[in-house]
Parts: sequence; structure tokens; C-alpha cells
Amino acid sequence: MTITYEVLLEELRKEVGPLAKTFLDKAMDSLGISDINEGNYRDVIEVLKMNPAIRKYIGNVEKRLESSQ
Amino acid sequence: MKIAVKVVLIIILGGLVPVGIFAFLTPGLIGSLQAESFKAIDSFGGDVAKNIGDKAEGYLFKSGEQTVMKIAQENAIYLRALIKAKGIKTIQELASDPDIQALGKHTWYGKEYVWIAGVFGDRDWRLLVHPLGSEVFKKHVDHDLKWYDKYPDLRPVLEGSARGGTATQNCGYYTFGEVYGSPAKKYLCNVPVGIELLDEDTGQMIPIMTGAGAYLDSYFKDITASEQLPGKTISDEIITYVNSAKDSVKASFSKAVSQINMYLAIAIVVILVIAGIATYLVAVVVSNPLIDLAKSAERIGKGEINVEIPHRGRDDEIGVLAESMEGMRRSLEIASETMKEM
Repeated sequence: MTITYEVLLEELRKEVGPLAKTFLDKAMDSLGISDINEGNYRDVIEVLKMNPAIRKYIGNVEKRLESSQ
Repeated sequence: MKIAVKVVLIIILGGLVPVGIFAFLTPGLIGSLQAESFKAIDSFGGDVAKNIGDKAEGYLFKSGEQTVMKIAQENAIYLRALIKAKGIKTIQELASDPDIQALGKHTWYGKEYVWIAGVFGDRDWRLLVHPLGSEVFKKHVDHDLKWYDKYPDLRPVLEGSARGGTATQNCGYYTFGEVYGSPAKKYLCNVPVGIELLDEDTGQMIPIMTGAGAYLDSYFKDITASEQLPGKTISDEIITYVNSAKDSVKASFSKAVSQINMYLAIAIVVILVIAGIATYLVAVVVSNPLIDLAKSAERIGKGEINVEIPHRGRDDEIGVLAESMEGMRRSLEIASETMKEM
């Protein structure tokens, strides 16, 4: 499965609901990237994990994405 | 209105309306079918009654004709034996014999006329013994008695019995008198006796014949209700059977209507049972889970954001709704924790 912004957003939305877009956009801002791809999605996930409130949910997303690769 | 109630109403309406339409239309359809059946039975029965009646009447008249011919033939056999036994040699002896005269006055069941005649030449048919007595002895039926003027259709029957100066068996109808207020037909048969007697006046040998004539309806009076129209009696009997068949068909239709009504009642009961089962299933499968989710949403609304959202594992629309609610609950939870850290 190709990792894109939409794919990652959908996976996040499944775990954390409507706030997923807010967290994802904020993480991308902090990394200074404007799109998600195979090369940078892990960095985005690492940034998201820094928020303890959503860390366990991001872990679930990471496992699903890894298993789909 | 609750979903279960709506579903029940839909099922009842969806099921009962067609049944109701069917129940409304069925009596008319059956009535129409019954009327058509009666019409066909009447038409068929009427045709059968008329055709069989006409046919039967024909057979009855043929039977009557045979009876007249048999009477004439039996008379011929009896007369031959009587003439031989008495040693009669001349037509004068024949005419004066009281036993033979009595034979000419005899009638059977059908008011028959019986006569003895002689063939005096080609088509020359003359009476020897007749119910009218000695006044017609040796009289020619046309030249002397002028009967052909009075009864024109008698000519071919009598002349046919004496064609070529020989006695020949010949039968036919002629009009004589009135029966039932209209001219009546009598059937007569002349049969050769097989004996020739001497005419003492001319020295000529005269072939002897005997005959019988009758109104055939006389034979019908004890075997049919109407001796005038014997075929009609048979037609009436057939119509009775036709009416009986109609009663039978009517009973069959009534039975069919009863069965249809019973089936309709069963269908209504089945629909109500299905509606009851549907109510239960809708309550278990749809309504109760929705109520559970609504209760969870209500608790979240009251601030219990850690509440567990039920029915998330289901693979139907309820499951999708539960997953969405769980996502929103988590967002609230995360937002709440984030706000606490600020």
C-alpha cells in the first residue's frame, strides 16, 4: 500500500477521531513538509508519538502501516 | 414513532393490502367465472337436449314404422294360414268368411286400421276386407271411392303396392284426419300374403295383400310424457341433468370460495405472525443497539468521556455508527487530556 496524506489521515482518524487532521497537519508543520510519502511518514509518526495523549493510538496506526508494507 | 412500530406497520400494510385487494376482487372473479360456466353449460346442454331430442324422436318414429310393418307382416302370415286352413279359393269366399271379416275390424294398441286387398292390375289396388265393411268390396280406391282426391299422398303408397299387377311390400305416410288440431299423418304398410284367389266375376287370379295403418304417436303415449312430442320428453330429461350439473358446479364454486376465504384467513394470520417476529427482530437487532448507543452518547454528553461504546465489533451499520462514536469519544478524551496539560 502506498502511503499518502489521505491514507495516513484515514488511519489516524480511525484511532483518534475528528482531531486526527489537526494533529497530522500540526506534525507536518513542525517537520516543514507539505505532503506525506513513503520516505517521510515515519518521521511524522515519531512526531505524533511525542504527544502522550495519543501515543498508544499512534502505535496502532504504525503497526497497521508496517504490516501493509 | 418507534422504528419497530414503523416496521410492523410497513409489513402489515405491505402484506394486508395485497391480501385485501385479492379478497375484494376474488368474489367478482369467481362470480364471473361461475356465470360463464353456467352459460357454457346452458349452451352445451341446450344443444345436446335439442339434438338428442330430435334424434330420439327420429328413432321413436322409426320404431313406430317398424311396428306397423311387423303388424302387417304378422297379419299376412296369419291370413295365409287361415286361408289355407279354411280352403278358401275365391275372393268372394274370402269376403264372406266371418273370421276374415273380423280380422279386418281388428285393432291393436295404436288404433290401427287393417284391411285385405287384391291387385287387379297394374296399380289397380282394390279393397276386399276393410273396417267400412262390404260396401267397399272390390272397390277401386280412386275410380270408385275417389280417395286419391281426398288423400293425395295415399296414391304413391297404394300404387306402389300394386305396380306391375303384382303384390309388393310398400310403406309410407299419408294425411288422414286431424290430431292435436292439425292434419295428421298415418303410416301404412301393405304386405303380400303370398296367395292368389280367383275372382269369380272375371275368372282372374288376384294376388292378395294385407295392410295396416296407424297414427304412430299412439305407440308413444305410455313410453313418453308427451305422445305429441316424444323427443321433447327426452330433451326435458336432459335439461334436468343439465340443471343438476349446474347445481353441482355451483356447489363446487361455493366450496372453492370457502377454501379461498380460509386461505385468506390463513394468509392474514401468517402476515400477523411475520409482523410479530419482525417486531421482535427489529427490536433485538436495531432498536435495542440504537438505544444502547444513545445511552452512551448521553453519558458522554454528561462528561463521562471514558464510557465504553458498545456494538463496535458488528459488521453492519450499527457497527459503523459505534466506531464513529468511539472516534469522537477518543477525540474528546484526547482533547480533554491535552487541555489538562496546558
